[in-house]
Amino acid sequence: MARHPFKFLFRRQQLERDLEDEIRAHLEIEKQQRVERGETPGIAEQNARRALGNELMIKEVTREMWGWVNVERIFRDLLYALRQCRRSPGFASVAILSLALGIGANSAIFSILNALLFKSLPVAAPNQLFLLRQQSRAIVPQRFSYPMFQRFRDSGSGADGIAAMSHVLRAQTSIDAGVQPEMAPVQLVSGEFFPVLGLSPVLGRLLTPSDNQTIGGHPVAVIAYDYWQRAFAGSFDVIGRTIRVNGSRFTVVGVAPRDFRGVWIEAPTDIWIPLMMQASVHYAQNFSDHQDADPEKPWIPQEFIEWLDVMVRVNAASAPAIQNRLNGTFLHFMETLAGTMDADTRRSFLGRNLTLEPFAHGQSYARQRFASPLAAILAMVALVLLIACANTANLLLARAEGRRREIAVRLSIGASRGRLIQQLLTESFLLVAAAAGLGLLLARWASDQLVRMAFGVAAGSRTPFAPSLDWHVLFFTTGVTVATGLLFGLAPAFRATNMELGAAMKAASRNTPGRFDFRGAKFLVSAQVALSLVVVFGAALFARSLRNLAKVELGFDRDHVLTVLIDPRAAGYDAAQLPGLFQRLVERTEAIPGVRSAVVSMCGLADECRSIHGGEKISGYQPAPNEEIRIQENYVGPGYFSTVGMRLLNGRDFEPADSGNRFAVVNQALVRRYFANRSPLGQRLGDHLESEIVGIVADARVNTVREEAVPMAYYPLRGNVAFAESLEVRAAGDPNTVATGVRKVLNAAAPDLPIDRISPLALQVDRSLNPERMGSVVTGAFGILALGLACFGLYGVMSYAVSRRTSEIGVRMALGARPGNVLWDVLREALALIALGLAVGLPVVLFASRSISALLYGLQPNDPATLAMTTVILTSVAAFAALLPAWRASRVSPITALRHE
Amino acid sequence: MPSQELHKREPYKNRIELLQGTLDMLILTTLQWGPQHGHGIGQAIRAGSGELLQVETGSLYPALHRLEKQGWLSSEWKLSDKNQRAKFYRLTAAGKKQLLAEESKWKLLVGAIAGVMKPAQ
Repeated sequence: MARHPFKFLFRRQQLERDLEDEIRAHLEIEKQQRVERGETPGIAEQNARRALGNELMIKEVTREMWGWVNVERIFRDLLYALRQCRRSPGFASVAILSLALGIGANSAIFSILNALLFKSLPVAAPNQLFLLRQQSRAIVPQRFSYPMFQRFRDSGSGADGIAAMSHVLRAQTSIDAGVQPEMAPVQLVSGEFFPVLGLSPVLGRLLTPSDNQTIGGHPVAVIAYDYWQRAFAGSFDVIGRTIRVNGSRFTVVGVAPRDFRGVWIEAPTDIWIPLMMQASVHYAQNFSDHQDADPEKPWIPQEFIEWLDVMVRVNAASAPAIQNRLNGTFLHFMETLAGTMDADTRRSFLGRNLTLEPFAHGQSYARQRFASPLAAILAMVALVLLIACANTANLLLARAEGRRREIAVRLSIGASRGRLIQQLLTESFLLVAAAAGLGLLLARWASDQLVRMAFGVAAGSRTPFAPSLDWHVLFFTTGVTVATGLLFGLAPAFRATNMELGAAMKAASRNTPGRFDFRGAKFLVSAQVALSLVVVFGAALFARSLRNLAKVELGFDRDHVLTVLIDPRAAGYDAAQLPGLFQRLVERTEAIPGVRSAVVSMCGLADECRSIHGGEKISGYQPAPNEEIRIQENYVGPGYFSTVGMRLLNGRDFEPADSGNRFAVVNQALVRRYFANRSPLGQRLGDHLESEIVGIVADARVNTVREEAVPMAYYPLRGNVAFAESLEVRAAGDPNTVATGVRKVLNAAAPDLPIDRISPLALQVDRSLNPERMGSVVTGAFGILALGLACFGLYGVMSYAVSRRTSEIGVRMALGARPGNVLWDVLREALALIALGLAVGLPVVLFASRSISALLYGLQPNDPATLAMTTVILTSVAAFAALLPAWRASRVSPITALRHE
Repeated sequence: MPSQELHKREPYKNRIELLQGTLDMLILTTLQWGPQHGHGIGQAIRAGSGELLQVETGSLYPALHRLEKQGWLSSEWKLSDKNQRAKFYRLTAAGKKQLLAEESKWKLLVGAIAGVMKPAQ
């Protein structure tokens, strides 16, 4: 049987015929015996049948002995359910579609959460991987210097492996000279990286410790499978080919496993190169430096440049011991470094501790940023699914009503109630299975769209990470599907099969419907109203929060500035060439018609570039014990404030002659914090109070829209920072109009200088709100869906109620009731349902919305205006849905209604 | 009216819990004298017990099909002595072995119960 999975179907038919014959033979023998005893053939036949008992039942229990009964029964139920669905395509499609939207949305959101939170790196025993983190009272950089890493590695800590890695660098890469370079994510790793992960190559070899011995001496690269396919078309002679990374040539030595996309979730890595090549590719991001560090020189030997993440492989049992040993190594090394520091710096420098943080899921900034909004959205779409369930349950209830007679007949000829419930549930599961299939398709599409929306990636380009439908997601979807099926299928199935048979048959034979369970249906409608209140209110909160963010006074002029992101480092410029380059760029740009001014700065606006300096002094300010003065800083060219439109409150802007640390311009936040009641102009700040404050600017939200201004100081670019990446251009009008001109001029002035981005500042700011926008769009869409489903439910129940009461209404009309009264009666009933839903929903809303207060901006989670607005919208839309049935009721003609009876 | 009667009927029991093993044994015993059809088996048991044991058709046929599935019986369609087509069951070799096992088990059980019921001796 097992060999032919469908053979049982044919065997079944034979067995079935056989059983039929056997019972018939039994009856014949009995009859003949009775005839021989003298009964007339007619009586004998009757008696034989009576003696036999319930033939259908005997067959049923006998069939169960054959085995396969359950499989075969399910199969038959499925066929039956399919027929039922085909008979009422309207019902089936409404149910499937609404459930598919619910299931699809849940799966889509979950698949993103899954990719960020639950998916393990595709490496050997990911649970043994940990990342070294520094714990401290003060904010400390979470990175280590290369010499520190060497100490960890060689300390004999007992760990099974220790590896170091940089952040992911977006580098200019090309596989052949002359080919237009593309920006590809590159990560610098120690030779232990691949061995610690326990990976083996698809082709060639992976990097080993011998690939990371001498500074600048290992121009070798491992490429990702994906990059191999994309850039080399999967060619097998890729080993030995050359790729250029930020101007340096690397030889490809191997291809990483197919599913390994690096350890940064949202930055799938294309190329891995040895740490020793840091200076060769001009890697200079996410570092912190102390004392006499020189970021322009190779970083490998420098103890005061912290730039590496350290990954450790240990088994869980020995983790605490190893953490202690590594911490000992760390503190010992820090102690030797702190030797020459003054007491304050020393204290903050040494006040750190190491811990091991689980690294099975890899690194991700997006995890912190998106996890809680996504969880909130998931909760909301779960509610939408509940609403869809309630809707389907209501449809099923109404449908079961139409099938009362059929069910009564089947019960009376001996079908057991359990068997019928099983069959009705099969129908529910068929619906929900179809919905799940459709939902998964939807989820694939939607999760990709959501990621694009959240990260602002246009269609066609690669998304930062791909939420795949792995078994976690499939498991989740299956769970949701089964729960959904039970949720909307069980109650109607029980209710449909619970009947007084006699009454049902009689009622059915008169062809008038029996008592429909309006209480259940009405309860479901009120529940839908309550749930949709929660969803719609959540959506309204997100929408208003986004609007608040969009209206925030930023403190700079987003409408007239064009921002350009350039990368002189990647192009291989050295520090000495840069002042000349910048001057040339600014002069040429300013010559473009329509351009008012241009300026180069280290950090752009709304650009996730932030540099914070700790341990400075401010004249006249006495820090509290343990207080470290922390000031965000930016280095800018002359005329910066007028170019970006920051309001100068006092003093002056930078002038071309300014250079070095002699002068600083500070913002209001710094004045408020450190110069209460004192005039800051002429005061000094800096490590050694070397800078004089010459100007005060109004606060500006330079980091993110949400983040209020922190104490900040500006210094001249000239003589301070060589590498700057941002060029701000002030246009007389719409900055878009000068964009082409700027690009052309920059290309002419420095043909080899990569331009990462040219965009109006407003667009740049707008992009930084992408996650919020995604949240708002998604919740908004589902708010509308929730409202629509609830209205659909209300409409359905009211229509049904009216159609059931046609004769009653007819009698009332005949007795003189006016259409207005009837209309109001029906409407009042609907309003009562809505009111009940609101009454239940409101406390839930107020309780639940507190959990998203951190995600909101500029309003409280119980914002009364939003709540009032939501309630009004919901009530009026729902009442509108009830209006049609009410109107229909008021048009009932007494004559027709009575005939109907 | 019939619908109301049906409504009050007891839920159908397809297994006689206490007698299950016993019915199997009775069927096997009956068949050791030669092949027989379902009706005949039922009658033989009733007659053999002096009309005390009524075998419900609803228990008999499931039992026959179960025993056949277990390989203790085989069946074929034949004509009866009264020239009626009927499905005849016969004991298989495994069925004979099973019958012996059941018989000895039964004797043990009877002896044991008898011992308990007459503790005085």
